Amino acid sequence: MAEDYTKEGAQYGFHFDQSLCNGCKACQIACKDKHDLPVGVTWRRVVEYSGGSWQVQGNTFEPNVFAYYTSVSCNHCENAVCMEVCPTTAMSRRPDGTVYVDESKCVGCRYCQWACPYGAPQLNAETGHMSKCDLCYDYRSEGKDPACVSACPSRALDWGPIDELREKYGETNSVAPLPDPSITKPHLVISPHRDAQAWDSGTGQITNPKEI
Amino acid sequence: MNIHELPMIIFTVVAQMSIGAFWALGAIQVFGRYRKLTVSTIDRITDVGMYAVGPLLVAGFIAAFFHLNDPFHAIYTMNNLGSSWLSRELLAGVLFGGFGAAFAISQWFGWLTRGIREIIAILTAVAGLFLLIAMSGVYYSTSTIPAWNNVSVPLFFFESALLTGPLAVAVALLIVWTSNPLAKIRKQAKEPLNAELVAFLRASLRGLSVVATVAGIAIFVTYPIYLLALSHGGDAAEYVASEISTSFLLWRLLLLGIAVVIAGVFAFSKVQTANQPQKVLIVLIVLALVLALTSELMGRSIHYDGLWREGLNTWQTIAG
Ligand code: SF4
Ligand code: SF4
Ligand code: SF4
Repeated sequence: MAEDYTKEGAQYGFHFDQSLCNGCKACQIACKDKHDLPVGVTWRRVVEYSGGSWQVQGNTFEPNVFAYYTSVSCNHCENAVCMEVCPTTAMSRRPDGTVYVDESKCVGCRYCQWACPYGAPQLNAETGHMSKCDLCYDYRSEGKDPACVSACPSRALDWGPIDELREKYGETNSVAPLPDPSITKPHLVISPHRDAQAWDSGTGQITNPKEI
Repeated sequence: MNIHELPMIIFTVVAQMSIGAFWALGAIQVFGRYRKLTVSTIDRITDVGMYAVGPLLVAGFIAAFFHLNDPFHAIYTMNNLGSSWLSRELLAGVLFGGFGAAFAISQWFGWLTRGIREIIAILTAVAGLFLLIAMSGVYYSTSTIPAWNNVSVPLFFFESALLTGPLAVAVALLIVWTSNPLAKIRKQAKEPLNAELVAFLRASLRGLSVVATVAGIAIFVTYPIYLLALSHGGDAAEYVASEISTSFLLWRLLLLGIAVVIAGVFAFSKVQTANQPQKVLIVLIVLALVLALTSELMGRSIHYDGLWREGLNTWQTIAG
């Protein structure tokens, strides 16, 4: 029998290994394909963050640059601001802890989209409803891994109950360009890139703003 | 102009104008009583304004509907009163509109006693306050959007209500002074306003232009404070401060400035000497209202341009 991937109270989340990600965006495409998302709707996005400065040693100036990728979807946050602001309660939580949009209620007001600091909820103009990652609920109920996780060629993505992920990979969740994690308490663990910058002291910039 | 949020721009500006107008009418009622005028005489002056507020508010709500991408689900929008300011805004809007309509209808047909009608009017005014607070809460409570999570936002909303509302009522008073449209509609004999009533009307007009002027100046004062706070508020806030400091903002302030000068200087002094509704006065007040409204619509467009969050801004944010 397949494993139960929709266990009540499991509080699922993601792990992302920044040091393994090479920015190929297979996860982004796998998600888009799996959920048949229209143009302009991207549930999982790969953000490129880069920056740099000059290092001065005596008379020599050396460039000191960095660039790294972060793959982000919805983090099924503990303190889900999207649910807090949603007037219809369409943005709601399944017993397994994942957050999803109940399309039978959503009025398409975009308030959740305004509030979420991860850009996770995105409006599907075809349906007039909000849409976002539900951690591949249908795949999970069949005992399969989420599409993005399986698709990653460098095995940079993992998922599971957040406590297990934290035990395995640590507690880091506050790498730039992600926001202050205390806002939503995301169910996300990141194994940081060696050049990773802290969320509140990042010196770089997102270099692919139109791709996310 | 922020075309994407046009429905919300129209809704917020118009709803705030109706709230301000209703308060202004209430203030005139109180003022009339202080002057020992009979209730029915004061009504002669305020009724026109009140019947104008209703359709305005309805127009605002219709505009707001266009913001929803699936209006058929609108029935669910009050499901989350416990935590969503948007639910609270809708409830407040329904209460303001509902009480207001109940008051207007009973006033028109002379239903219920005067006392009960007045209680309904007070409830309407309070619901208006609740609506303004809830509207502010929708934006102010989004801690991830620095341009909105700033005390200037509720200030702007209140100032807007106190600028456009009284000016709209001033126009309504001038209409009453010039002709008596309600008597016409009701096919009643037209009684000319007596000297006492004209004096009262003039005093009310003066009061309205003072309130509007002060509110307009307050908006002027709030802007630099707001922009200064943003430009010292971290990366996202700084970015948005530079994005909204455009010539569009300067035009908005220029129009507001002209409206304030017209209302505060010209109209105010003209009212003092007018014994009848002169054309100049009508032109001045109408012009002040039109300029103030235009300026507020522009300002609200800038408000929605402020949608830039700390954290990730997606292509959908950029595209609006
Ligand atoms: S990432 Fe955004 S949409 Fe997902 S649960 Fe957190 S706040 Fe809600
Ligand atoms: S768009 Fe839908 S899910 Fe999002 S806040 Fe509005 S009603 Fe809720
Ligand atoms: S879990 Fe599924 S829905 Fe969520 S980002 Fe991955 S593929 Fe997309």
